[in-house]
Amino acid sequence: MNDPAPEAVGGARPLLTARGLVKHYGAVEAVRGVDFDLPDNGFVTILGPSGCGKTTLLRMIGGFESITEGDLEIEGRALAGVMANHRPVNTVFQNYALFPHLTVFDNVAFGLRLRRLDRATVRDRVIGALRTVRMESMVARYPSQLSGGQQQRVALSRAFVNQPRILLLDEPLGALDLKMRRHMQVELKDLQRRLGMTFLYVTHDQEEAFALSDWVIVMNAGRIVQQGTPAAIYHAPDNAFVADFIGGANLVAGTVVEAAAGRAVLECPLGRLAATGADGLRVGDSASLCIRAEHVAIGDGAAAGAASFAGRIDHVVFRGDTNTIVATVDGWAIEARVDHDVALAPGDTVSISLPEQHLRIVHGVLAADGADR
Amino acid sequence: MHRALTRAVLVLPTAAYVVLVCAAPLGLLFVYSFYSVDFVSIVKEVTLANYALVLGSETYRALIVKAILYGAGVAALTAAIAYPLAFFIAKRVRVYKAALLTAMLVPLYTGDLIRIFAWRVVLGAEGVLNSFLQWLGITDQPIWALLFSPFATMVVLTYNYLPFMVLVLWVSLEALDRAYLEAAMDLGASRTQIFMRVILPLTSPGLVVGVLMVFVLVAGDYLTPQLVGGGSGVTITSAIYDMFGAAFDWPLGSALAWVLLAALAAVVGLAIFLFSRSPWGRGLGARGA
Repeated sequence: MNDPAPEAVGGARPLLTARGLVKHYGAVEAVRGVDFDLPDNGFVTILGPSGCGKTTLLRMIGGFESITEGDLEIEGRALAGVMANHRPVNTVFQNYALFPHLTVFDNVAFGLRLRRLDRATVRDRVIGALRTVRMESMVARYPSQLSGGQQQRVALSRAFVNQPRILLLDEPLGALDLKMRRHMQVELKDLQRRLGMTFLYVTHDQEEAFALSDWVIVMNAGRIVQQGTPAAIYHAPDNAFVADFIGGANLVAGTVVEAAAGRAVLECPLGRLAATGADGLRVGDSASLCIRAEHVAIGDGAAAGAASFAGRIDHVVFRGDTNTIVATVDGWAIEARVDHDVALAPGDTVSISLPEQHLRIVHGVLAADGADR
Repeated sequence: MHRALTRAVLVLPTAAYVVLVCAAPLGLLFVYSFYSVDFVSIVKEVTLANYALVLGSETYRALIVKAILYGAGVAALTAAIAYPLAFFIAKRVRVYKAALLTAMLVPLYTGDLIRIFAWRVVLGAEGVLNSFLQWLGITDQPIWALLFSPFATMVVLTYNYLPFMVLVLWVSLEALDRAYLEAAMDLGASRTQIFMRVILPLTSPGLVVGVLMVFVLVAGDYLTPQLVGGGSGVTITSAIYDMFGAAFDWPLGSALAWVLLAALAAVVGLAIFLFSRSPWGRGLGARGA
């Protein structure tokens, strides 16, 4: 394969473009109009709750689901009508799907042999790929003789050994325990850098998405609700769904009464509050005030200029590194994160303040069932 | 031990059934195979003459080889027809799965004779197929070889034993994870390559079971060759039947039965041995480190 130097491509043209992608299963709309670009050489994650259409989207790119509407192109070449076996992508499946009747070596060699490469080339590339994931000593084993993490590495090698333009990963760490998962996250990120290949990763785990990705695409109910760098998604959520799904921010529903470049004022049960506003807010929109638990200040130490309220503590939850406090302010439940040494007990009345620099007004309000409107 | 006793009690009925209904008659036959016949009475003196006669006879050897060839041929034909059918039912049909499987079994409800005579109606000189061919003008004389020929025997045997093969392969294909097929396609395999490199190896245990089952059933079938095979309809089983009936030579019949049993057991044993030593059998058998 001829690999143009990353500089030559220079991000001028995206590697993959999706325009107005739609997927229907009968009456069910799994994907409802999705647009995005993938850069050459990057780690991109599609993040969303189960049933949001992220796996369907990945399978449409892989060639396992037809495209109901819209365009999907890799380097300007349309993918519609191209069978999975002719697409320049490879998939790492959720449960690995390693062929149980083949050894590790034969599994990794599967794609190369189909391309009728000579024996020596197949051997060199298989061993090279297995060495990359430190599995070269296991060539003669069968998948059933490997641990979950080892199977994961073989599944990765089997896919990237074919040098696809994009490596598609469908929740590949889902079956591993937490410690192994953390370990594999580091390995995956490292692997992506070394291979210089574009990884498109699907997960419902925001921590995983943040740890791995250069770019995160958040999906909900078949649509993209926000995309950006992990930091932007976390610190500047655009709407109530993202604010809630990513790290469970505190949200108060209200109506926008003033909106100017980057600032807005929200009329809500806590009063009229001014804060940083998401782009495109207009007067009269229903919107939510958003503040993360770690930014809520409890007690007298509140900074000047912060909105303060009297609240009653309902629960104190031990979280390991911190305590989470659930308090009620005017019938509104708010979560705050505090150090262990802050002596608070359920029933205490405290002063709760919301520092203005951490307040943000985002689009939409959260429905009772968690879906945004 | 209490548990051991419970287990013994639970196993007893099955064991008793197998011994009484299967092993005992076979054992009796085995004993008889060493006796001889003196006009109308059986002489209970041990002799190997029957075995010498069977093994020394070109006719009997040819009949045993024929049984094995028919068995192998029909097993191969049913497998070739059953794979696409079973794949379709297992992986493409959702709602009508049970209905299709039942429909496939309907012919089995009608009984051997009915099915065989139905084929005589289809293949006979005045039959459906010959009439149709003559009507089309492809031939002006009925093709006699359609019925009462090895061809007719193969057609009817394949038809009769196809459901067994479909059922066994369907079970294997139902258990085959679709992800393997997608993984193979993802890695660049065409449909044929997916079948040869993934479906066939992963369902091979089922295929082996199906082939051996059809093989043994066909090798022992004497009704079909007799009724549609014409001059070619003599089988080793019908020869055994004649020994017990018309010829009243139970000892020779017993010896024939045991030689056939040994020959089939040898083929089945060899097939299982070769499969377990093959890469597919080894890979699927590998468990644990």
